[in-house]
Amino acid sequence: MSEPQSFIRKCVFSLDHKVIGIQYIVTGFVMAIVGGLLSLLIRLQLGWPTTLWPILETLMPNAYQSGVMSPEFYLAAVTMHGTIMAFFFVSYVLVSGFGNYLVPLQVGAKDMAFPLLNMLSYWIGLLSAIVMILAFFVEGGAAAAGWTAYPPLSAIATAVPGSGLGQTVWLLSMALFIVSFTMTGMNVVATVFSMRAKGMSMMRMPLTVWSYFISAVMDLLAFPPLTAAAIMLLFDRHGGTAFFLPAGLSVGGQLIDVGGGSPLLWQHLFWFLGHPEVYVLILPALGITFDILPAFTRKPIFGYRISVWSLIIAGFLGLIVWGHHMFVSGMSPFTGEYFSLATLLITIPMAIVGVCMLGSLWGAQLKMATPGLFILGLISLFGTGGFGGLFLGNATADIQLHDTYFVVGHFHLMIGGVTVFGLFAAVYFWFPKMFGRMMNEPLGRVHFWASTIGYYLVFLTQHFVGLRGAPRRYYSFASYEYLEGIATSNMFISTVAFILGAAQLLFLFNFAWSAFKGKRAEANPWRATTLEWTVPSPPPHGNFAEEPVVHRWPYEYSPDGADEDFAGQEVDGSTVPVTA
Amino acid sequence: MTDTTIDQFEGVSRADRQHRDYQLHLGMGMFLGTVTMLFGAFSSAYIVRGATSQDWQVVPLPSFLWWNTLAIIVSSVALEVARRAGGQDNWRRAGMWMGATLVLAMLFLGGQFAAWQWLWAAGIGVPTSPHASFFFILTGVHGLHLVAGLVVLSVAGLRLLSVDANDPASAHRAYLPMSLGAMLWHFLAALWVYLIIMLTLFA
Repeated sequence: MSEPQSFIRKCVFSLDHKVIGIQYIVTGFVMAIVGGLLSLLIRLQLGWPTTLWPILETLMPNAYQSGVMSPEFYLAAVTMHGTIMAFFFVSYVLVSGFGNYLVPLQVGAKDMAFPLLNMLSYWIGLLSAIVMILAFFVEGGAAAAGWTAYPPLSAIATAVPGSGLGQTVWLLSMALFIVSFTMTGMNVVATVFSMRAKGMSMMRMPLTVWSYFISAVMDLLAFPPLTAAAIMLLFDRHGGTAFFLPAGLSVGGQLIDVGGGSPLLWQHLFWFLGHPEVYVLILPALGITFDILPAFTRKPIFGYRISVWSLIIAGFLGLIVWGHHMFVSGMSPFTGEYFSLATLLITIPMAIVGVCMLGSLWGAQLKMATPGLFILGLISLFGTGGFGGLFLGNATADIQLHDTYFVVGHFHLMIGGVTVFGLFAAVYFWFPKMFGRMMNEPLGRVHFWASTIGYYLVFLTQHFVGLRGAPRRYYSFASYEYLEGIATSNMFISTVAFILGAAQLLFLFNFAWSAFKGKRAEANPWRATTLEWTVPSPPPHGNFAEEPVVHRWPYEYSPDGADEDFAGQEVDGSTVPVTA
Repeated sequence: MTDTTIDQFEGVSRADRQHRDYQLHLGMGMFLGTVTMLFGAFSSAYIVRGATSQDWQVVPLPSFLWWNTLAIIVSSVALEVARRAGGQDNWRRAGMWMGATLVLAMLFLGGQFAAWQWLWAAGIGVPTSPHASFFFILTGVHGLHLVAGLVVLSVAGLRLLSVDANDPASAHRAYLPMSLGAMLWHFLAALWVYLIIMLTLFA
């Protein structure tokens, strides 16, 4: 594999999985800034619903007429915040970004199985992100039907302003996203199947690779159905069909003359993607945990094999529980019972994973740095968020809690917390490998504590607001007598949210500053065992000077007979005995 | 490839080449997996939409669709004959059957378009009834995949025209798209048989 020389081939249209991974990560963080600013606008409205914001009116005259956020813009902001954060931030940084960067390095490959497909995937992905942002500037503004795009709101162009061109643009962007994401998934699966180094059996793969592999298989199975649904929705919008439009629907006092379709059909198709998507995002965060943790506990992880199987089983179950998002859709109680049961079954593999994480911590002498701290935060959020999931997975409780802030709090701890803490940990941990420089440790610690305390204060409080019956997606709670009591909570949440947002600036600054000015990193600054630490930081084009040979599992910490307190996967059995 | 005398050409060892071929077939397999899920979703939508509504009206479909079905099945068989001939280094035979495959494939695509025109002439369009909507969308999406398949098979056909039986590199270049195209085309033929049965017998 010859190394390209020109800047364009090297850094822009690169076929190198490491460059593509970093491109995804940077794109994802840029999108996160947009999504994050939207969330602050949302919190501004919910915290101080009666205050006027003349500054925002000058910045966004359409959204803030006479200084007040319009309800239509609120809906668009909620929709775009969810879409951007789930699909264009976490998916890009954690799954496509780190998946690209880590999988070939950790299995001992020169690159992904299909480098050209990989490059295409990034550029289609970037296009989809740009198209999504452009939705703000079309007539009527961005899509406003929620990140779930439920019809009829998403199907009838005249329903709300965002249901017009904004929704069409949303669907096109999502179609591009699915193409891009599926290409990455194919690459990960093919790389794991066909590019592993000699000696790297499946049961010697780091759990990071396992989790990306399972996540990619789920991606391949779950994303195509949304394409089908998107095609049908586009035809409902522009082709006069009625797949999702019910009969007798009237919008703005006008009867819609097509009908007979089923909005619930969309919900089933959407959640057949939507729920697995949660696992596609969260499994890599869990896998990464098992690889970062032992570098700070200096002992082997607990329960490698059972964790592999638990992740596989959780992934499989994740594909068949989508109906638990629809308990209040009027589904038969028997169907609801099935979805409840299957959902609660997931607690078994997930609890095993959690116990293995705690077991890996047991008796360890922790020498903490920022990545390890974020992993501890992740385990904590995983536990707390998981408890909320028990309430929501149970149909009886969910009927009460559905569409309240309890749900918002829950998924921000899990899909918005575990994944985000996982990707922060990954950035702090693999940054020296990527850029050859360390990130600043004191700044990282402040970022960690502010994020952890901020996350708990914001999203745990939202659980209680939800228990009081505050519904999600409401533009203002000021006009409901029974919700007067939550005004203070909302102000509190909003205040903390702004502090939490400000803390992320520390991270962005740390990232940008360290990339150029950080302390130089050695090849293996964390004294970790996986193959990426055997090559220079940053790794050269083609990764390995000669094909690595693997002799052991990736968790050989504090082994007998070694000079150091770890033995990398490439160390053969003659110096340090092979334990697995 | 059955030629075992030459291990290396174009700077690629035999083992590396076989590995690459395996990866490409794996990639095609995964792609077909996603297509399966795509049409699985359409099928479940078809069943649900049909079962839950009062406005389901079956539209008549032209009977020549069955001749079309025969065409794609025969094209699939012809392609398999061509692929096997290529595997035995019988390039003349492979080229001939590949030609037949391409003619039948285009006949099928033309026939599908003729079916659309037949429906349009009868005043039936996409929004006429859910059944018609499904017919147009399913044939359309299937047709787009067929076009992709046709591109792969055309590449194979062009390379077969200039194949040099004494040059393993040229033989390999011709065989690879034929083998990948066969996976795709057999799948799409089987998918069509499934679709027409669903759209007619289970309407």
